[in-house]
Order: sequence, then C-alpha cells, then structure tokens
Amino acid sequence: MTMATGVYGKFLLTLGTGSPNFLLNAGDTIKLALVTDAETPVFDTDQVYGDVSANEVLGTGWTASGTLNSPTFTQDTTLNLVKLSGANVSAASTTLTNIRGVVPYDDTIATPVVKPLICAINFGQTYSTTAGTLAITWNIANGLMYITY
Amino acid sequence: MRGPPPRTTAQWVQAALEVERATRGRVFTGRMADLRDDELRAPLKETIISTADRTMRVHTEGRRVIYSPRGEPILIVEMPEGGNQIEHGDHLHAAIRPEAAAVLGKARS
Repeated sequence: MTMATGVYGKFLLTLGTGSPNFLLNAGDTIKLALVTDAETPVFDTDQVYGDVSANEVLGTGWTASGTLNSPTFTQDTTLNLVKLSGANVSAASTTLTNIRGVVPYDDTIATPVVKPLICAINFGQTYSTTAGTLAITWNIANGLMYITY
Repeated sequence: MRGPPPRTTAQWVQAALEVERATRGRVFTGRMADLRDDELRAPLKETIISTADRTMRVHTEGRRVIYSPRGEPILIVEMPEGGNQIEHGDHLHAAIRPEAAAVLGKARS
C-alpha cells in the first residue's frame, strides 16, 4: 500500500452532475486530512472522508483535520487551467508522526454524501514534527489541484 | 583559503573547519517559525549510479548546519522531493512543498 497523487473520479463526476454541489468559492469549508503511507487512494471509488479517516495523522496541535484557509477555485487563462488554491499552512507547536500526504475534502457538504473528497497529494517522503511548526507551501502556479484545458 | 596548502592531518582538519565556518556554519537571524526562509534550506547532493549500459545522476538529501544567535546548532535536512526537516534542540519542524494533483485535459498533437 502506498500513498499516491491524483484527483478522485467521484469529484470530477460532480463537475457535470452538480451532485453533491461543491461551492468552493461560496463558503464551503475545505479541510485537510494528513495521512500516513498506509493510505492507498482508490481514485475510482473513494468518495468521502470516511474512506481515508482510518489512516489520518492526528496529534498535538492538529487534533482534527486542519482547515484550508481562503480556498478558491479559479481559472487561469494564461496557463489554461482551472485550479484549487488556498493559503499556505503554518501550524505551530505540533507533534505529528509519519505524514506522507494530504487529502483535501469538503467539510460542509452533508448530502447526498458526507464530506466528499477532492484529491490526494503524495508528499513523496514521510515527515514528522516534534513541538515544531508544520508548514505546507502549495505550488504557486498550480495550487493543490489543477485541470488543464 | 589563503597561505600554503595544508600538509598534515591536523592542518587539513583545521582548513576544513574554516571552510565550514565560512560557507555553511552561518548564524541564522531569522524567525524559526518562518520555515520558508531561504536560510532554512540545504542544497541537495548528487550521486552517480552506473549500471552495465547506462549512468544516471540522482539527487540525494542535502544536509546543512547553521547556528542560532545563542550558538545552538540547527540541522537542516532537505529532501529530494522538495521539503525539509529542521531540527534544533528538542524541536523538529517540517516544511513541505508538494506538487499539485493534476487532470490533464488538453489533447496532445
């Protein structure tokens, strides 16, 4: 089993069906589930937070999924892409072990599914903190996830 | 390094320490909480792997020690994947710079 980077198929399906109705620019709370390498995303069928929560990393200073501040879903007509971006993460005084990746999900949606997943991001390496700062700097051009056209 | 080249082992060690102090053992005067500070980075190293029919150059983790104004060592380990771990005293920090997940929708010609 191993962590991987990708976009969940069920999330892409919602772009056409509108169900569940993601409102990424209109108040939905996007949360970040840190996961260990035991998490193996199944991009065909995984759909909700409950599919990844068993492998979530919890600890001091990060007792539940952290919030992605200022989430925005925007179009870049120069790079020809649509992307999900947000504020960089900086959490002080954390003690967390074996962080291998992050799974952003919509914490606001409760129907027809609860807390649907957006994508999975593999860090490529395991990180830990001890009474230290966890900083995640998103890709400045592509954010957390992007779709080219 | 000026003067005649070192000849004894002790001279070589002394010369190496001087280079360490001059190039890598800098005093960090920024804020520890700002893990995106360029001073909290360490250049990656390279190693060459040779097989029967090809040679590859691969990056390996970089390590660097800087010092706080109090003289405490701060160990920086930079991963080939782009993030780093920073250790000083009993504290371990993580600075992660992940690549984004992508859906490539443009047809290739």
